[in-house]
Amino acid sequence: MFLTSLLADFNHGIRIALHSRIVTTALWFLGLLFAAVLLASQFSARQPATVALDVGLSVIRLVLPLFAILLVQELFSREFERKLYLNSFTYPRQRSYWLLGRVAAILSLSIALLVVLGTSLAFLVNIIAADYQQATPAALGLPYQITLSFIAVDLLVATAIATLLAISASTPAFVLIGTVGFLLIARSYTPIIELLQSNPYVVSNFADPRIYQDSLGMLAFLLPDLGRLDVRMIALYDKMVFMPTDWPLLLLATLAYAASLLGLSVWILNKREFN
Amino acid sequence: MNDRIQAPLLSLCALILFWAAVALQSNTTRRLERPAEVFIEGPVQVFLYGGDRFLAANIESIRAATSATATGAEHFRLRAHQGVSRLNPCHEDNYWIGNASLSWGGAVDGGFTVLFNAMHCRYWDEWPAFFYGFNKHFFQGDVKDARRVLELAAQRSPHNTAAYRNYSIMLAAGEIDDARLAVEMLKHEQNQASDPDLREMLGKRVGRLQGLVILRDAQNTFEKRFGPPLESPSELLNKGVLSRIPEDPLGIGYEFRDHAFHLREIEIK
Repeated sequence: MFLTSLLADFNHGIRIALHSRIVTTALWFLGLLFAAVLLASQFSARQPATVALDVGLSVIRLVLPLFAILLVQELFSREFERKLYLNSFTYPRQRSYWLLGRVAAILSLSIALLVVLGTSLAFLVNIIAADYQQATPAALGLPYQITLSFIAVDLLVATAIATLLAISASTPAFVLIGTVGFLLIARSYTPIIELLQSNPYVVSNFADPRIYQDSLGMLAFLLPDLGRLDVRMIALYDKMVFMPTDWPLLLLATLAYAASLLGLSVWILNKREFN
Repeated sequence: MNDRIQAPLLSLCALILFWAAVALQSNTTRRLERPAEVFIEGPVQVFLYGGDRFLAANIESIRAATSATATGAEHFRLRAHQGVSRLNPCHEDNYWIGNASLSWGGAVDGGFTVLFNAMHCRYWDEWPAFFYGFNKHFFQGDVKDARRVLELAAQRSPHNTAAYRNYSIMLAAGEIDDARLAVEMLKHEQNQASDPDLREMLGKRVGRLQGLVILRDAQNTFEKRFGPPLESPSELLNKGVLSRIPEDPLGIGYEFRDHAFHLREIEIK
């Protein structure tokens, strides 16, 4: 019962998404990846393939959350805007199935795009690597797959926060702004803390820089550490040493955070009154 | 007037007024002095590039490399290469170009920072360690530290272990003509480089080192011919050993201290 209902909503969600202009958007993103990667590799003197992989991963990490946000707007915000829920919620079934089915649809489509972009990037890097023999070649095997899987976990959090905002907010624009802002802070606070340690006097010549580090460190209890989920160095330099030693805990924390956001979304949707 | 075109026309007129007002403002208030040469500190950059320190490192490294031949951008290059080496210390282009551009372009301490970070992050790479050791001896005359780091390079290298140890022993014995060696090294790098800008940048540094070789050779000739150690570079001209002091293509020049010629370092503001 649970699965069939979920599957029905999943299928419905995929169909709505494909009817919108989402495929065109995905093609634009693919074009952007090709352009950015080929241009960036031209500027590298000693490691064109590594720079290509590096910039490609940056592009993937930038465009995928945007793709997920567009899908969330399509599948959730539009539903409330056009009062389509009058139709959706009249079926004799729970709202949570509707929500989780559509979240599954959004995630599947986004991960499909991740696979397409990841494969294209590997293809491009292979072509560039054939041109110039690097002293330290980039790794496109297991380390690359691990990097992409961690990006998928990052994407899960992005989808979960966008869903929560779409369910609780009344304007679709807020989903975009809120999710992008959330990701920006969640992704940057760890690198910023690390950089402040090596160069503390950016903040002030007089105040103790540790104050800023401590207060930024408190963010770890409020936001998932998406900055450390970026494990691309294992693929860029083919050295597994760069993997965070506590990666199972890191994954667990991030997945738990996403689960709690989704649970909150279900709760809010169940409480929400439509008239 | 027709109602349909009234509003767009008004809008257009206002826009033209706006452009006219902007054009009439004095240029100095709107323009940064050298917009291409502003370097923003690492933590701020991470935020600007969406929390992506690697993207920030790549873009800054490209900016630093493309300004490699620009005159007047020395301070930007210094800050940019050091900034990248904090954002992603393993960046290969950054330490390679940074060493050529900074260490041989008068910013020796900046070059050491970049090489030091690269040497620790790229724990498998012999080159930052070799450059670091070479520079330690060449610029600071620190044989002990140079030998320690050269041993590190020897342990990392798959093919050049014996060559590094040999060099290290020659350093200890004081048998190294390091300026000539540095010329050879930079020429080799220049031949390897495919980018014309990079070749030009390295070419200028080769020229600068060749000037140093000429000065040191002249000093040797002088001391062999006349006996006492050289007290002032002008004696070379007075006694006719040199017809003129060689010109530094980078415009930084050379200096004579402790009875020997050295590459002058630029002052960092």
